[in-house]
Amino acid sequence: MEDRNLEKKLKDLKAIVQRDLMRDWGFSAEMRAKVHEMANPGRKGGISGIKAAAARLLAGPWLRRLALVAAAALAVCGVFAALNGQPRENLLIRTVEERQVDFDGRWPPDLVRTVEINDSSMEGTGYLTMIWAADGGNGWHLLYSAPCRKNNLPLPIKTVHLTGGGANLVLVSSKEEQSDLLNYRVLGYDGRQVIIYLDRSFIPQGRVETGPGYVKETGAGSYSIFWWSGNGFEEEIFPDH
Amino acid sequence: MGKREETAAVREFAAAGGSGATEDWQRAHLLEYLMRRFGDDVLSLAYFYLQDKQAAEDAAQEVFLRVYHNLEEFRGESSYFTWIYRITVNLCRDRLRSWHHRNIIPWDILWGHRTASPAAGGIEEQALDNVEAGEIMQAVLELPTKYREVVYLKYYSDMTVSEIARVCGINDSNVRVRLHRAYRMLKEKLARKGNWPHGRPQPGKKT
Repeated sequence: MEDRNLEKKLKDLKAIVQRDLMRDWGFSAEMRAKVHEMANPGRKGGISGIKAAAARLLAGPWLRRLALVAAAALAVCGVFAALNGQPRENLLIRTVEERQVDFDGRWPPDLVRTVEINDSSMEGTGYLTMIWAADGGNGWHLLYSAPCRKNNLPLPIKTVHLTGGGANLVLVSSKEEQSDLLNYRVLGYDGRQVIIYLDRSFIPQGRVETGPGYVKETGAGSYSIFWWSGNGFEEEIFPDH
Repeated sequence: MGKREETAAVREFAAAGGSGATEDWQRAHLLEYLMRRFGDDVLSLAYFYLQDKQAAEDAAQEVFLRVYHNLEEFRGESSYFTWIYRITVNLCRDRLRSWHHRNIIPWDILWGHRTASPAAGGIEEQALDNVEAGEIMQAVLELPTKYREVVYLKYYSDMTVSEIARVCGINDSNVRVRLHRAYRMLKEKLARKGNWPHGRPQPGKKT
């Protein structure tokens, strides 16, 4: 084989590996979940039960004042700990937004959180949106995660309230800044798994808003309303806006 | 107090819930991000070492467990990419040296998993593409470990010589030497397999 041919084929190695080896194989959600479990043995999902315990505590009205006093005390302690403790710049991570969402109308609510990660290998910032379910006081279980595409900025998390059962869906979205393209997903959780009800990508000049039982998507020259029909969305298209 | 107010109260409480809780969350978030971002790359790198899918999956999970337990050691002096690759390389080398791997784990036949993918140049062209790609891949997989790793890092991961040196724990000159030798070995291997030493035959033409 000529040098040129060999060099060319070696440069194709990535494509060959992705086509032949990684096509039906990858670091799956199950593998990620297993790592979280191994990282924190005995705590499903990997996060301690402090928040869930707080949720249970606050569910009792007579204890709320006490809890808030405790919270204030802990906050003061936290300031002192931060002043005296090691710097945390190595974690390079910051919560951008956090919302608690009642997917099934039951207490405690689940948590949707977007974090910003200073990732030098991305030549900038990476974002990750996650949904954590409370494990009945035992901690938190990671249900879903979605990284933002490169050069995308996450937009505020929105909820879609479904009338009649107290349940909610959550809308996570991002925008490509330069090309002004909108991407979003509407997600629900049935107690066992996350369900993607809407998955829309690359909408030019897109905007999205939510209301009780609907999602309104506005693009260049038209808009659509997706109405909740009980087990999914039905689209109604309007040409002008 | 309504549910909305309760939620706000929980948030306040959680925000003040002690540095341990906050750090746990941060670590879990970072772990998830790194697995999403580098999971597939770590898996394929581990496969290039171990050549067995199950072994590669086990190793990749172990890599991220080590990442999680060593997050404090990461100071941002290198990228996450380099740091995680370094952990992967070290772990896979350890596994290759282990008695278990050398004696128990069978060679995974990559080509049993291959499926044809559409190509623009017709069936013959596609078949030649697949055979040729398969032989290159197989030849790389058959290289001794220290040559295989530099080829993978250069051609799959697009790393520079200096980055490869950092990941493999050797100096730049050694990387260049290994790449040169790997290149020579690959040429010899492919020539022995009759892989078109003077260029590829044209589909439909007898050679």
